[in-house]
Amino acid sequence: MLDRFWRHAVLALLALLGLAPLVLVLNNSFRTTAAIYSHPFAPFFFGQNGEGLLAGLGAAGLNYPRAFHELAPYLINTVWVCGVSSVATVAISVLLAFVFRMGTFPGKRWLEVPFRLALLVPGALLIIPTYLVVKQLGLLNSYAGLILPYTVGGVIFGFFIFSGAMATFPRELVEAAQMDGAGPWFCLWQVLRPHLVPTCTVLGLMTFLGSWNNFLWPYLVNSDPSLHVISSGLFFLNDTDTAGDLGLLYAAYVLSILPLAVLFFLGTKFFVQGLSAGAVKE
Amino acid sequence: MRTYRAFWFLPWVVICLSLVAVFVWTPMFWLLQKSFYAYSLGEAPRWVGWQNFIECFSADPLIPASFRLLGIVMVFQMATKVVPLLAARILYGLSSEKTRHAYRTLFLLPWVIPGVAVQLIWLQLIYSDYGLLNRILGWGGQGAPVAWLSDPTYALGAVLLVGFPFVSGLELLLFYAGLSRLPDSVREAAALDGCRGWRRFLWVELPLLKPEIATVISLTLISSIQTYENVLVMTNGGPGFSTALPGFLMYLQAFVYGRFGYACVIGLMLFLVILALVYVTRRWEARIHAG
Repeated sequence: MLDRFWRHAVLALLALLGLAPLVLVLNNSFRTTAAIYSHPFAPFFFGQNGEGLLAGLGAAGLNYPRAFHELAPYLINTVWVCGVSSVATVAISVLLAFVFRMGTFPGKRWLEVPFRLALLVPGALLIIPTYLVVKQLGLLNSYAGLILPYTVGGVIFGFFIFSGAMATFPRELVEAAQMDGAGPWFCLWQVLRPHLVPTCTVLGLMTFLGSWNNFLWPYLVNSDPSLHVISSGLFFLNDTDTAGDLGLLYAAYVLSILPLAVLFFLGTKFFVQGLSAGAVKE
Repeated sequence: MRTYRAFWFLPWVVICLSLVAVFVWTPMFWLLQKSFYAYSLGEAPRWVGWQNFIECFSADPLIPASFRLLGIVMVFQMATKVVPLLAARILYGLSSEKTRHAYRTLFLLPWVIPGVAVQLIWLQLIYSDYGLLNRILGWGGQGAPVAWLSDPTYALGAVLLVGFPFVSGLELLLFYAGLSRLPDSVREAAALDGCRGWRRFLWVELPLLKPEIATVISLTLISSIQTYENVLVMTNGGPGFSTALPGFLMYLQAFVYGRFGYACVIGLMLFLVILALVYVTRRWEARIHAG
């Protein structure tokens, strides 16, 4: 289609343009607010006002302690909310799919319908009535007001993909285990688990990413500043007396990206493969 | 295979079902029910019949305008999907698996950035008076900075342009997986007939990618209807109402004007639009699979 040179040129240009804002943000996070206002695109190592090479390195770390001070409570909230919802999502989905695929109980056929149908409901449009439900339950300004809706949303998708994963599991293996007297827990933990681990990773990752990046729901439900998560916290920092402090804001952006970026590079393989698999299954 | 029976199966399913009932089915029902009420927080809901619907369909000038905006957003977002399609094709053509993996990683990386951070970064670095866009235009000799987000001519375009050059990871991976799915025999047959390069892509590979294209279309339609977080963060619907998409009006009516009942009517309309569009796309998809 294109020759070798042009292929790389096009791809590199696309990657570069996509990552350029990140590079600019990273650069400005090392500079003082006054310097950003006067020369927003000067490289930080040229000094705060362009004095010369390496002159700016002395000031490079000044924004981060302040940004971390502002952002630390939000980071803790986010990790807590995302961690609990993704672990709960995976655990509940596995157990639910197991009960439906490997077990029998009265009313099984009818009880499955509400779970299946829920997959078709677009959650983002239900934000107003869901807000009213959460308010009615007295869960405004609480962790549960975030964790419960995230988990339920994840379980609906998780039930669907684990049902698929269990349906492709070779029945002979389960039969062999049953011949040796394996009960349901043994079957789930010792026989099925190795087969389900990739699906668990995908689901956990997607729930974690989804709840980490969600902005509108935490912004509406948890208006108490001590309960802000990263996304609503960043918006809050832009809306209050820190708004003009660009140095602090840029450092805060970097800090909000850093944890997931580190996770991303540690588990690139999981991310690329897991999200590919998740994308195809959707 | 013998299926299991245990005393805790039914209670466990009932617990899960009640969670789904509370957080999915109750909201779904309330979306319908509250549409018939004048409902604001702190006041007793008052039954108003079809009044909210009548206002929405005939008296509110913002509604038709917002749906026109939604049409623009949909067409625009569809058009941007050409970029991940072409990028996936070029990426697939690279010979070294290592390089392909490296590029996929680079393209996927922006996914881990919270959307609100991206929007705020564009707000400050690209669109502000001292931002990149005004800098570039300044070099070309234009004097006064353009206020991209508070000029009704540019505001919607500026909001939509966030994320340029639109190599979104999910779509890229979908198309890439689709291309890897195509059997080599198809490409060999095309090559034997002298069909190579761009022509092979357009006339052989693209028609075979229809299932992926259908999936991307329905994902895009749904996400464009749900696009209002970025409007809230970047322009707050303004200037005037020039970026007020239907989803944003829904948010505005509920959480700014305190009219939850009326907001539910807008939500219901959007829900029906999504349902219709997804139905059409699914039927198209089904026809592809059948024929």
